[in-house]
Amino acid sequence: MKFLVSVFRQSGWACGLGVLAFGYGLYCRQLIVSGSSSSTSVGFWDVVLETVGNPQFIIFVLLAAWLLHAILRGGQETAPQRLLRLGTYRKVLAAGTDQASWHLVGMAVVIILAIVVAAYGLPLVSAPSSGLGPQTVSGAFSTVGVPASVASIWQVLQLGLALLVVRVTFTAIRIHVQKPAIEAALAILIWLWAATSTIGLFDKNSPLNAGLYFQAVSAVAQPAAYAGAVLTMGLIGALAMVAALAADARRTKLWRLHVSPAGLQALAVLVVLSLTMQISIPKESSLFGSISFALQGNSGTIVQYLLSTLVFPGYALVFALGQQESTGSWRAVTLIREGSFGGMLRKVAAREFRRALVYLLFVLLVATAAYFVLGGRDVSLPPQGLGIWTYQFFINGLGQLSFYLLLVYAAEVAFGTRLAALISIGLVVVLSPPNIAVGRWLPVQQSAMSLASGGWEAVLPATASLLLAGVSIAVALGLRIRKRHIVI
Amino acid sequence: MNASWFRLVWLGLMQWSRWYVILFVVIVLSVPIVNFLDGFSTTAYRDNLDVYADMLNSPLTLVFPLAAVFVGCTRFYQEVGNRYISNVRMRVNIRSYISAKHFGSVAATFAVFFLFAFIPFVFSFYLWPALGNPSVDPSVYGMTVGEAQLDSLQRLTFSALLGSGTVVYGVVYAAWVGAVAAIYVSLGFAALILMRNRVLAMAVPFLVYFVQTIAAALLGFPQVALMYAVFPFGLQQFSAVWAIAPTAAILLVCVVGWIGIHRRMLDLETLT
Repeated sequence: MKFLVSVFRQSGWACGLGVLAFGYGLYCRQLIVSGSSSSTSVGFWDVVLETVGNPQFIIFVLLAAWLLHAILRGGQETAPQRLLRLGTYRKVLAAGTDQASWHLVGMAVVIILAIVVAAYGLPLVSAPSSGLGPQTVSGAFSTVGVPASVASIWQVLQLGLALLVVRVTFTAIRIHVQKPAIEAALAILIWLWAATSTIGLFDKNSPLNAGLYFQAVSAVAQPAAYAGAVLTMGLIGALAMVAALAADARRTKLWRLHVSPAGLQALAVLVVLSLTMQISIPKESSLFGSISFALQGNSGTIVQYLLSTLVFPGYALVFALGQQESTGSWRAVTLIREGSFGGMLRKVAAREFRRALVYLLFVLLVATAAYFVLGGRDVSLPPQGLGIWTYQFFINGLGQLSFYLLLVYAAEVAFGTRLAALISIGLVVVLSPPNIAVGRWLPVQQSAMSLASGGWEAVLPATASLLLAGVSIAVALGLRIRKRHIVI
Repeated sequence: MNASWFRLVWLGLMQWSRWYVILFVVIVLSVPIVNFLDGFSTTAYRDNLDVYADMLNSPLTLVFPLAAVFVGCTRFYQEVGNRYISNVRMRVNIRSYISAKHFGSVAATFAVFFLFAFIPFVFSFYLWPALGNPSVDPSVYGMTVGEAQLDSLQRLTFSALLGSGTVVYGVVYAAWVGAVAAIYVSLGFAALILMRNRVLAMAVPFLVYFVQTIAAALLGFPQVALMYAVFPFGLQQFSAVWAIAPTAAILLVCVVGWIGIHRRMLDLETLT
């Protein structure tokens, strides 16, 4: 029913686009028929795919029309009566997305019908797909074995998703700004960006290349950049949702940012680890090699070191930002509940061990997922590979995380302020870059995947120094707590 | 701005100069010289610009925003946490108080980090030659003194300013370092007002700096990394626009944040 209502309401837009699509279909049909040799067959799906994947058709017809539609029809989304009926901006965004999806479906059906009519006059031969050259969209897909029919559906879905993201962005901006001039300026900017991209202003692998967002064929030609574009679209959608939630919070006078430190850390690890995998896969093709390379730590380049710092001391920083049990009134409450400092420490330690294990699994999972998304397929392990990973992640890694957690906890207890945790993490970062003399005494110097490159000789002293430093801090903390116990 | 506003700024500066902040400032200012003296004997430098680069290229560059925020925001961190501001706003206009506090901290941080870059400049370009330029030997690189001087103009981002005079380079670059530190402090200040988690707010500039630097390096554009924008050592020379653009983006975020704060200052929960 929604679909029929949508088609009826959008009939003017749909008819106009249908006529243009029909024209483009005829043009593309003529283009590929004249461009192909007499021995190759041009199928019906080839014409559909060439038309819906044509960058000029996408940018100059579909995107331009959709942006115009967003400006002209979008005002209704935030009309006062609609806001009153829906109650929150979150619901406004959800309803706007839902409505835009049905508009897209309605238009898509008419456009595809028009292209089908344009393509149907071709002499269909036995093979539905063709032997077109790789310079055509159909030919590019056929080189990786994707039939033109599947590729057409993929292209339509991707285009729909990209246009939906554009519309959601407009709705989110309208919720905050409600100024038609800004929407118009944004629409012009988006269109100019896409149009200049089709004339080759940006490199094909650049994240600014609009083709990555609107053309499914990019998945064949630039798989890594395409994965990045899909991720970016997801992030834009998530940001639009955050913008709507922020508008709700502001409206209800709850103007404060609810940023979860753990969420921030997970996001930072996700983004940075994925990017590092992008450079490690060409160097080390196997799953084991590329993950070991990415998490090389101090024995690698400055980028590898920074990633390792983010993964390990960064986690301790997040712990310091989130936990409340080392200082202040919450500490007193926890103390009363647990009965003693020892009990409280045992509880904190048990909980943090569990979390650290889950976090290490998360890191491993993100790295593995990034490996597969970026096109890696070699899962073979070298001899003792499983043992090396188990040791690095769950003994050395867990030891490192425990050491840093203990360090920030001890700093907070010793100085009585949570700011001490921030300073202690800063100190660890300052003292541990590669080639700094004093850094060799810090366990982070031997962090990450040393075993994969340096062997047991490098790793065992690192684990031993971790244990020694951890025990020393624990003893110092115990003495300090005992002293405080008497005072309290 | 009137006399009472300047008095507020002055009082803010007096409160800012606590012993631990002064101690921290002394440590920060001595890091480049200690870092240089630790390793100069085993290094050969082309010229005094190399000496200067080696001094500033210390591990402190990794946590530069953290150091700036600690210098500029610690006092405000305590005031927000201990609800000092709740009492102050009964006596003083909150807008005047916050703007005076903000201005004082930004100015103090600018001064500290201007000196952080300017003292090593004086040391490497004036004091080190007076000591006979130990370890400076352009012939190790197959260069004459004149060639090294010419090369220095094209070696680092901002080093082209040496063509306008050594002092111009020293003052402009030190002012740039001070200005960037001031921007991070302003960002930290805004975060302290907008966020309930004060430690997270203090960490925001550092997290932005750190993650953006890694991301820029991984994407293949190290020249737009925030770290290389302020300490462009170890990279080839790029146009100053590459250094200014990402920092200007942070400044823009700051300005938007502060406009929001000023518009809603009376309702903000952290200030009540």
